[in-house]
Amino acid sequence: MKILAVDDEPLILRLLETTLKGLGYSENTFAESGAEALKCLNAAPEPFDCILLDIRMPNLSGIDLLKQIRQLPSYRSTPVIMLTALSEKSYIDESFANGATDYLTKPLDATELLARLRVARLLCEANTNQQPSVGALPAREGEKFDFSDAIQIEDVPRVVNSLAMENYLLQLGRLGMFKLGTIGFQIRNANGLYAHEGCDEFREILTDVADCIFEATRAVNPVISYLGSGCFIAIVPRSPNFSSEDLEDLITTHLVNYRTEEGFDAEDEVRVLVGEQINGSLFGSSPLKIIDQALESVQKRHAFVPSRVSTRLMAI
Amino acid sequence: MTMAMTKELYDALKDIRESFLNDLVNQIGQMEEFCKYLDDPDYALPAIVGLQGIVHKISGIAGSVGFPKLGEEAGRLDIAFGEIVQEPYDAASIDAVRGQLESFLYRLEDAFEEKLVPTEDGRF
Repeated sequence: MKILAVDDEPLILRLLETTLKGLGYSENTFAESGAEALKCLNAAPEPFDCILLDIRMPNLSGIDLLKQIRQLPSYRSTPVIMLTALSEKSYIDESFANGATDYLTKPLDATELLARLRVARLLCEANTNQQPSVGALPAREGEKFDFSDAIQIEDVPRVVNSLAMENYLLQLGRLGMFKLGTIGFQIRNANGLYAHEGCDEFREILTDVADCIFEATRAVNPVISYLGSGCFIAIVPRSPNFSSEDLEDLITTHLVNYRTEEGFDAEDEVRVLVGEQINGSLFGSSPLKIIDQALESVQKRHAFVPSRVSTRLMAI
Repeated sequence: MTMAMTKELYDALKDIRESFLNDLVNQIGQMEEFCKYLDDPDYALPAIVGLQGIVHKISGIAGSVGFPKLGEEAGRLDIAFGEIVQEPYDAASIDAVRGQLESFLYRLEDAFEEKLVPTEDGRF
């Protein structure tokens, strides 16, 4: 696996070089700044398989660099692991919202690093081989995917893939999760839409829905993820509590506008059902449990049998 | 798979630790210089920014080269300095962190006394 590591501190790079080598990773490139990293990315004869990024760097921060990396066609879904000495939530949020796959706090722990790299390798292989069920696939135009696949929604702000969402929640810890709320969303008759419209059109619908969820919640800097089977979740601050009815109306209004602009008739209307905001608990909360509760809430509010209740996020 | 401690790896980690301690000499000097400006309302905040840059670097590496407590303390100072520089100059908030800073400087000097070697799995 070809790895690019970026950190402005030469000692950290030396430590990474030693650690990566000790873990059996030998195809490593190191950059001491964002600018140098961009040069490496552009000059590489073959794309890197994984990128390790320090967050706080002079001139071009790790998060700004990440934004630029995600604009490069070859790196839209490459695993990017953020490295930082800080465990402040704002950095975690910003990292994941801008496309980070995972997050590792310094001091570097070889075992932790190895675990993250193994997941990165799986993602990398899945992206290469287009195998479903590992994290999220980009599923670009013309590519087939299953209804239950948690495909990656692109070009919508603050939307992360399902694996990144799970990593994000895991990194928050108990107190972090306590400060947050989770809202579940389900596209009504998603299975029927998928079967009737096909992959390309269904992907367009998913992108529109993700955009509308973002627009409806953008004031609170949400982190949004598509989990497959027409289900989305959004992580928002615990307070103020969103009203499901208001959110549903807002999303419907946005969707009608979008779909009308795109030339669809009223009969092509797509509806999104919204659950109650589920606030994290200090005890007994886990990422999977919170996500399940949020999706079950959609079911309870609308008294329907969803095509999918339990999340299928990859267990690491 | 864990890291197998080869002679090469052992030497590399030891070398990184030495470099960290060498850098520390300069960093202690720079920090003491910045500390001289903490009572000056015109220069205190830039001095805190300078101090924050140094403790941030230390917090990132100290724990990996055998000084976990030093790394934790540097991390706490990093966050405390970050809060100070987000507000206008306030002598009281700088005074509040001064004790923590002094004890950190003592701990940095003590670091030179610690003779640790990497363990089998690459930790110190």
